[in-house]
Amino acid sequence: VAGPRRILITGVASWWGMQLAERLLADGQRVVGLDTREPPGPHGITFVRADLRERGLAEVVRAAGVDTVVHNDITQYPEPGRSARALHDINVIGTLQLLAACAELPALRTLVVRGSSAIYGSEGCGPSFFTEEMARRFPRRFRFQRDVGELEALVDSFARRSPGVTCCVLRLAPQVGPGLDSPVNRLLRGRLVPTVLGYDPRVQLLDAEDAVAALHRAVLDPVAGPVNVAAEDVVPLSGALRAAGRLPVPVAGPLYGRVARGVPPELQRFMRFGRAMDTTRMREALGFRPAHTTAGALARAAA
Amino acid sequence: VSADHWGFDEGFAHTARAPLALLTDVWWRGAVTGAEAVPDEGPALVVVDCPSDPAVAHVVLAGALARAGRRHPRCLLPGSAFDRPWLSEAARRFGFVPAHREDALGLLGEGHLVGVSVSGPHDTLFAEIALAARVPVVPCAIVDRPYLPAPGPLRLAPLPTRRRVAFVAPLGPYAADPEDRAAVLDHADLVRERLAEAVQLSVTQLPEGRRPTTTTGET
Repeated sequence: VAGPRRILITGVASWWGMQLAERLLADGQRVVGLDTREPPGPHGITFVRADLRERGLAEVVRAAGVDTVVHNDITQYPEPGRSARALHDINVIGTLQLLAACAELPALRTLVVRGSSAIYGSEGCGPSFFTEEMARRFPRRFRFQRDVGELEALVDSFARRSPGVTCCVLRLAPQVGPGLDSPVNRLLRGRLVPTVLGYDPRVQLLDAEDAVAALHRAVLDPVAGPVNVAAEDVVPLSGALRAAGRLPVPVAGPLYGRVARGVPPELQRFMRFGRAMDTTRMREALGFRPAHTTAGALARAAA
Repeated sequence: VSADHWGFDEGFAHTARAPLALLTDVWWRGAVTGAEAVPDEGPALVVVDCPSDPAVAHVVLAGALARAGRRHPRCLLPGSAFDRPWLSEAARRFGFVPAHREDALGLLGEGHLVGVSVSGPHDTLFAEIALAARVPVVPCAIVDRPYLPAPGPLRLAPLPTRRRVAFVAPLGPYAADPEDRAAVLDHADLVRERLAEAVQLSVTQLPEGRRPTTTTGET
């Protein structure tokens, strides 16, 4: 069926939301953006002010009459207008409400969720490369990790109830990029980067632009189920930092939280044990190859 | 620091091999026999039987192979080693990985020589890996004096004992379904039998007073 698709993006005022909306508009698709605050751009989207946690969401979503939903409103850290306490509500209750609304959309064919590789945690004793089947290998230690776990369980059960909808969850590696202001970015883009004394973890990152490109790819050609999305190289943290012109400053583990202020606990653990994923499914099923390597993304983030 | 995607730092491993070979000679006074059973190319699995700590066993294996001039093994260590500061980093750079079936299959898929302990993390892991990857198994028995349990991190300090590292002829590769429990147990038994023979052979070569009372670690 030719003609533009109608695509709903939740959390459209976030960095990813705006970037993705821009790409989809450039493709000639029609974009409905949902958020609690109006995005500064891009022009051409139909903005709907709505809160995922509130009643009335179902009517708003139904009125949009979309065939594709991109659930991008996943928050890992407080943003303007989102307190730390609201994160669980947005991630889990918001997803629950959104999926309930999606169940009443007869034209819905595609659901794309911006998930996170945080679902695997960071474990020294863990497998060297997490595949998509390994999400339940270790207990979930932190709030955000449990949030993404619950969120994926909700998407899973929605997918089972809705055989006509292709539900794709992208498990994105920690992202760095010049445009993005997040704890991992603030931690890694400085000249001096606090690392944990005695540990040189293997890390795998994702350039923020590649994250948007992967979402874009999943909207155009979705695959069912979770897909790991990360740069294709895995590098030791200290070496990658030095190559990107940063100076790793080892800090004793117990003091790390005090030196690296504002670093959420799952990120602190990532700096100790790292994480790498098997990206075979990303390359072969999703047909996506990131433009940037981990080392390249780190270098770009400094600019 | 340059490392591959497993965290293996070839320069580091190369540098560490020479002192390790010396250590094997002088401190462990190791006698290495049958190292030519280890293939120079292609994927292969070395299954190690050692009465002491598996981490020590794999370091001894690496030392024995270095001394015999064979290629460097990429060994599966108990996961706990990778939680510790410095140790985790050194183990990674030396080419060791946590003991997961997927890690072993990945390394074998790249054509590496992989070392695994005959015991733990579960009893038949080595047989499952061998069958799933369809690679030859080289049994390797390491015999030392009765294991002296030392407290805490001292366990990692190798005691000055005479060690014998005996490799025996490779088995397989066998074509069997790794999900077939009976096939896995059969294969595991076969490898254990060969290991027991190798241990017996090494023990009879030890001087009378130094023969271990047990060779399996189960007292």
